[in-house]
Amino acid sequence: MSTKKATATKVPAEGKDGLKEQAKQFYTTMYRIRRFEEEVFEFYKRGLMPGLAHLYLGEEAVATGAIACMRDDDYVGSTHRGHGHMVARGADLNRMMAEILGKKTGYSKGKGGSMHIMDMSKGFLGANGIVGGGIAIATGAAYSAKLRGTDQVALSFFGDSAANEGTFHESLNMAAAWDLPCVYVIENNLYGISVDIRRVTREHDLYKRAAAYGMPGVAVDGNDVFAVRDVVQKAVDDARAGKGPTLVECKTYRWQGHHVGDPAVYRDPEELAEWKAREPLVVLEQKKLLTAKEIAEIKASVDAEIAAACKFAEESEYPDAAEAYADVFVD
Amino acid sequence: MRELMVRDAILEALDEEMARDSSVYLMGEDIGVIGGNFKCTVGLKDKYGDLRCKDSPISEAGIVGMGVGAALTGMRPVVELMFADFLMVAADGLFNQMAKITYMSGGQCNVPMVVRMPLGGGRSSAAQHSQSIHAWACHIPGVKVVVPSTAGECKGLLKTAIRDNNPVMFFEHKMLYTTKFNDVPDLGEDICIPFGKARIVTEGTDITVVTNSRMTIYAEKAAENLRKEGIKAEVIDLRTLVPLDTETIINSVKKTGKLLIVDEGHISYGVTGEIAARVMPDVFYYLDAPIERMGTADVPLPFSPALEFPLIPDDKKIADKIKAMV
Amino acid sequence: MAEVIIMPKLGFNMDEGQLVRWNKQVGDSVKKGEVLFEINTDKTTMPVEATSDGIVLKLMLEEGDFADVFTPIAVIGSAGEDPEAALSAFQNGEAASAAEAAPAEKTSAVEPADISAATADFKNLRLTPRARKLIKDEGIDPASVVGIVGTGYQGGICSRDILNSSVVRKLGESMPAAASGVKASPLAKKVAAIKGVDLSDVSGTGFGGKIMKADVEGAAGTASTPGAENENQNLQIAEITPYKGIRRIIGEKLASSKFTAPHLYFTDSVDTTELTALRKKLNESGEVKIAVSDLLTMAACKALLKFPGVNVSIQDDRIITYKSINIGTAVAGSNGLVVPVIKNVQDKRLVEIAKESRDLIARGKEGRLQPIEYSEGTFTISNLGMFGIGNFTAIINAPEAAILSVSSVRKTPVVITDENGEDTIAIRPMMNIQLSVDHRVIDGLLASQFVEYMKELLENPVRILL
Repeated sequence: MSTKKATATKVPAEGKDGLKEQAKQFYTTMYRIRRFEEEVFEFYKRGLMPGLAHLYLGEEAVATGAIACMRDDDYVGSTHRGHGHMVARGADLNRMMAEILGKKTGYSKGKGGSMHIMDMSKGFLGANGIVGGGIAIATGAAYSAKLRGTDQVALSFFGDSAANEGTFHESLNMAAAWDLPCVYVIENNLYGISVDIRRVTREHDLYKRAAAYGMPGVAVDGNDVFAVRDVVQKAVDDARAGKGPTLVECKTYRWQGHHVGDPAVYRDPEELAEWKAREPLVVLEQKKLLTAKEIAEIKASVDAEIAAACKFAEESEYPDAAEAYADVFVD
Repeated sequence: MRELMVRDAILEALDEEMARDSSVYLMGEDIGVIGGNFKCTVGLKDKYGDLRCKDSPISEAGIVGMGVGAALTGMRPVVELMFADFLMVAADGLFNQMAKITYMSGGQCNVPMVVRMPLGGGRSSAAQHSQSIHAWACHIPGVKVVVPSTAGECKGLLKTAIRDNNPVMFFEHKMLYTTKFNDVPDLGEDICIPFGKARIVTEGTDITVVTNSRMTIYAEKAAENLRKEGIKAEVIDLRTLVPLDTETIINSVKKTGKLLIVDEGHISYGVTGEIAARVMPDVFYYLDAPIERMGTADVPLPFSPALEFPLIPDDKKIADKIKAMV
Repeated sequence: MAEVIIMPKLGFNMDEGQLVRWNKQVGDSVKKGEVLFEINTDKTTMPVEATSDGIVLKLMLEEGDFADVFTPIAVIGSAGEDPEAALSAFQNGEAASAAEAAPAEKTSAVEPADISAATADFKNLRLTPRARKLIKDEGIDPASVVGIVGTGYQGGICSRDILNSSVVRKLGESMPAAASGVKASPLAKKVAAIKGVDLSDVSGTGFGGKIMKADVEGAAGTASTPGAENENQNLQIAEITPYKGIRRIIGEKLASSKFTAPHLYFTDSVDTTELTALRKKLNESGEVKIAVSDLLTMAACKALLKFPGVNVSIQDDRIITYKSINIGTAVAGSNGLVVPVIKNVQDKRLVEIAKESRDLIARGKEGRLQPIEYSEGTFTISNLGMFGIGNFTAIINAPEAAILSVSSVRKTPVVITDENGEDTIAIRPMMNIQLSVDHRVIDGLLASQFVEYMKELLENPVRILL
């Protein structure tokens, strides 16, 4: 077992044409997440979104690159900052936006909202309001796959703060002990709400914790979608092959505060400016795999999708009050 | 009917359900090689393999959370917590995840999962291994809560729990594991006891005693002794607290005019107060005395038997209370 | 809010009333002042008028049923209103109204001295909810549970206490006696109607003597086979009629009087020569016909003024001597004995008495007296003179303390003193009078003096008019 820090992006395996096609897909997905989150923020500012939402702006490359490695029958465990994962998993944008606005047409008929958004049909085990809550659930899905003898893999996203929760330790320990087909992806955006990870953790490289469990640990530039994809693909392949779990740390940054209502005064504006300068879309554009025209086409197409989702959500009705009493139990 | 110890009845239920349905698996501390701290899983590891009867590390939060993930993805986990006291360690998995995911998803998924754990005092296990905190589970919507009494009840209710498509918290009483009851159906009889239907243990006309778990055994004994004195108590074993069979309680109180609720949990903010309040609108005009309740005193369970026993209701205390009420 | 109609208390001594008929049925509209129902009190049949406009929502008595005074018997309100809501509101307010009504009445259910205090305390009784329900469901008079000693929680009265108490024993024992009315389950009533069984002949085995279906069937098995009874040639039955209604009320009252008051009797014969002559003279000149009974009333008044110790009654622990001389006259009415009372005879002239008496007796025979007209008597005269009887004994009309029985005038040989001072036998129209007194309050001497004075007055009737 080795614990290593990933270096520069390796030459992709796709070949030239495949590479361009992959770049288009990555750009489309990342831009879709970007636009989706911007509109969520707009709804919040217009007073149309109840409660709060934790935006994924700036971290789009992690979800996009990692989920690109997953098969349709695999499982994805998410976090309170889960919109990006679900968009990347190919969820229905209309139903997502409707759920976030608390409408009856939403994924959970308005019962879950942003923080519990879920699509079981896509093996998306749900956003989760409890930091670290999703780690054990994804690990259980991996255990389930192993019990059933399938080669499904579970991918567990969580933040740097969740790595300090007990479930992180318990889950990684068991997954390693039993060679569970699970890939753990830390989205290290440096802040747990207002607290800088560097103020509460001596070892800032969280991937190094993997060594303690006896599993591979890898760090990667979380703003480089290809880099993320490459690292996670290896981890997924290993998991599927029965070689056990891997811990991947994606170094990234969130643009907004912890949620839409957090002005993030605890951060140095210069730090934000530095990260924005090399944000995921820019990093991909700099690879010169796509022309300006291609990018413009992608944007126009995605903008239309997002506009339609917003329209759908806004025009949808709120659920009947009686709906609150349904779905506590199933038959 | 056969006579079996409670732990063997539970073992039978697990065995039968694992044999019947390959999606049923067990995970818990010490359940594999040694067959469980209370010997409810003896032999199952050998019979069904390590993965389906998994000795876990001491990671209650982890194994409960993993149970949720497995249940979401097609399995029927039966997770054992060695003591009910430890549910507090796993509380997020139980109450924020297991109980709520079905609802939060708008019914997209369900969590067919059983968490077994022993409750109760009487073993000089002191404050962290003696609690009866089943009321905690009842307070969270989305969990079914079972508090079985005899061997036959444990077997029939556990089989139902495993087949239920919802999360079930199954509280066994640690003092009954080695008690024998002659009420276990014959092998080959696939008897599942439905949830939400209380059992009338003893019929009577003078007072209704509603109870569960080990207190059922005590109440039955108290009622039996009082019968010699001409007092006819009707003892009702609730079996499940969620769902709660209020109808049986109400009908009985309409007959007797008096209601005593006995539950081993701490008396305050618990099962007894809830039942009293729940049935009051239906029985108010039938009451011939205030509803009374018995439970464990509001102190942490102490170690010394000299301190512990007086705090917990037993057959004699129940009998005294009944006599004072009728 | 719908109005709850109660069994009215139409007389001083009325504890319960029997419903004769409903003049309206459920669903009928009724106007204030219209006759809603008629009841038999202890003496007469009374029409009772509606006190407000509305729709009859509920009738709670069958015709012939009895109900305690002040208990609900019907509900009137607007169409669609729930009569049960009004009834439960009534039940809740009942304690207060019972307390208000209490001082005026003297019921015999509990210790007299405690009555008003006890009824007022009803509200403060510790009754368990189940006990309250029992009282409501079984129509138990709330005031009657006041004396029950509670054995329930903190000494409260629980259902067991009521079931074991005399309240229920009384109900049970007297069922289906008039004292508590006939209580029968709806099914029992139905079966009784089909089988033609008179429920008042059936002993109930249900709660508080309530008649159940089995009781009716049992009774039908025996009572409905008159042939079986007729098989006994030594005891052939011509007719069986129920002992109930006014006959039973009067009967029980008389029995109570006879068994409670130790009766003493004082008899004498009165020469009515002068009385007859006076009456004849009065009737020749006057417009108003004077009856012998009117002269008897006047004479009794005079005697009562002279001997006020006879114009008394025992009520609970007190002996009341009345200033008012209210004289009742026993009349055989269509429904049974009735005793209309002329009030304050001491202030009235003979003609007034004659007029009043004629009216009262006429209406008494038809059963059309108002309760007040046969209440509040202090002395009674029972005159069977017109029926040819030589002598008879009357039972005191409780709570009065004396009654005068008056028999027929017969020509009788009597020893008299002639104008020469010699004893001689003469034929005289003689009339027996007898005074029955309650020996608890009237002694022999007083009674003798009263009778002798009556004789003196009747034989010298001009003194009656003085």
